[in-house]
Amino acid sequence: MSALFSAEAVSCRAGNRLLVEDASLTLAPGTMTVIVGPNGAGKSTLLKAISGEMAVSAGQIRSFDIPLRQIPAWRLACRRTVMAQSSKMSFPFRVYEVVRLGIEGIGRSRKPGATDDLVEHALATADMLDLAGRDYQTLSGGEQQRVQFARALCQLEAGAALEPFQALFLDEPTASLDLCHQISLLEAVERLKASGKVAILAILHDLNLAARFADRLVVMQAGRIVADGTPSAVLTGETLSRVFRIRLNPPGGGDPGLPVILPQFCSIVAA
Amino acid sequence: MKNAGSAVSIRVLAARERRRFRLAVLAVATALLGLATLSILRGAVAIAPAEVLNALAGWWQGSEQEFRSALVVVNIRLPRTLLAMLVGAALALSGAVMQGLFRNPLADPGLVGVSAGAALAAGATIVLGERILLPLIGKPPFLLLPIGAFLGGMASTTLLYLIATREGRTSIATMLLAGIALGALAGAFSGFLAYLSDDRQLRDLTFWSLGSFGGASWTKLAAVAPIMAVLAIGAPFLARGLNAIALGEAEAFHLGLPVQRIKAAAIILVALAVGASVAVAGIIGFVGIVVPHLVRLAIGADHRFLLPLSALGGAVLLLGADILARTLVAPAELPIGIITAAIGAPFFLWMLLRRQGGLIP
Repeated sequence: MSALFSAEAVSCRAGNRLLVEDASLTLAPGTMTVIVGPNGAGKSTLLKAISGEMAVSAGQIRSFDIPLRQIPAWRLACRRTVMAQSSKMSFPFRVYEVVRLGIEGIGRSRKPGATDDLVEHALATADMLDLAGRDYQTLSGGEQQRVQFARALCQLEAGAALEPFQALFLDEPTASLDLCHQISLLEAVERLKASGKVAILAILHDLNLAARFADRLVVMQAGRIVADGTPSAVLTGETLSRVFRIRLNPPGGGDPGLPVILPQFCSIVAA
Repeated sequence: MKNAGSAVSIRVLAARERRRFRLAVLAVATALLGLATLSILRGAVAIAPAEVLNALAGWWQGSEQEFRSALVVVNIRLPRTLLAMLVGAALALSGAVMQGLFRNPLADPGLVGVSAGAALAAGATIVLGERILLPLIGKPPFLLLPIGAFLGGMASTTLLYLIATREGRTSIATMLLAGIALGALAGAFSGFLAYLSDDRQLRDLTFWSLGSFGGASWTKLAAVAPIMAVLAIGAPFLARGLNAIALGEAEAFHLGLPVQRIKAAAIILVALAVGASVAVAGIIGFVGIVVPHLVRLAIGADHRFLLPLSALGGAVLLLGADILARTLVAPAELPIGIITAAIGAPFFLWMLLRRQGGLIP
């Protein structure tokens, strides 16, 4: 089967700066691909190129062998959902209205009651149902991010009526979240993956989370993909020191009195 | 989910929202009806309510009426009332659409030079049109003025959008400053036109810069009614798109909306509304900024509710302002732009003060 989404030797420019150079990547349903890399490595640019937001200067993005530019916006919106790094609303929309936007572009034929139920379910999954009536502008950054996640879930669900296989693009979805919600969001993503119908491409900075949830880890540095494979194959001491400039075992073993916290589970019970 | 027994139901929330919208429509429509009655009953010439009713009944049945009072009611007050309502609705609607397009509650066609651009084009149509066109075709065509004003509004909205938007992001500071520059430029050319015009044209131009419904007539009403009908039919189709654009243009594209087409439609709609309004009533500022803001405070930001309620609210505001304009210094009349600026400018300053994070987000 041809790939749900594929990038073939893609380069992206902004002015005469090369942001992404010669990157290739394919997304298959039922897998989670995580891009990691230092700031300015071109992670967001690559994600924007594959999701169709940004034009490529060389190479080609395809979905099921059709160039992305030939797919109308509404059809593409059924096939893939994007959650951006942060989204500000310019007017006092209520939380559930923001989530409903995920359906408005593509799921017009739904009955109002069915739309409301879908919104409610998505908000519950993102643990935001209690604040459904609040003004989005008054929420904290982390709460806004959870609302956007609920919006993305809504769009995915609405698009499923037309597209059996879909992709979910997440640009640092856990950046502003507390530890518990970081895990609960990624566990919700994992359940989507387990359905076998959704391909996930996420950018994460937390290598522990990336290692735990990714099937495939793509490491970017200075616009190029420098490593690509399973987390255990990619996250070697050599890669960590070369790309991330960090050392796993500092000389002297670090401060033994300092607690190291590696959260594994969240006590929010999933919907 | 955390609270399995949570009482929050989106169906209930959405139903509450719809009920609040219906209540608001009812309240504003009632106010509109009351003001329309007042507007027809009151004026420079004192006419008893019973006589007004007689005149209206006679007009409705199509009978000949020679009484002076009947002529005043039917040929002056009635078209004036209707025109004030239509223009108010169009201005408030165009304000709401423009704010949605620019993603900022401070955008207003009057404030950012769109009205000035339309007024310049209308002025050029009056002064130059009569010099160039009249010898060719004899009589000025019926829709020449509205079309001229529309093209002027269109040109300034498009120019403003091109200047203020880079790579899909609209800078509000650039927009306001560019709007001031465009408005000043249009004002300068309008001033230059004044030197080219004769006495009658000069009076017309002065009227344009401050706004008035003093010249309302059935002819003017007939000239703008088709444009207003286009607005009433077209605006609801924009609501969903503007909701999505509130999230950002890239996000609206992700949601599956034809962003470029929505933006083009919004610009044409604003230009039509402002062009038609300026053509019949001159520049009337601040309606487009006051009304949508109050509506958002009352019922929220969803454009499906905001656009129709803004239109109704704009009709109320301008009708009320027109009643003030012709009764405050009766038997003389104030330009209506003075009234709306006296209400709107302090309101705008209040919005700026209330705004968290200052003018530029």
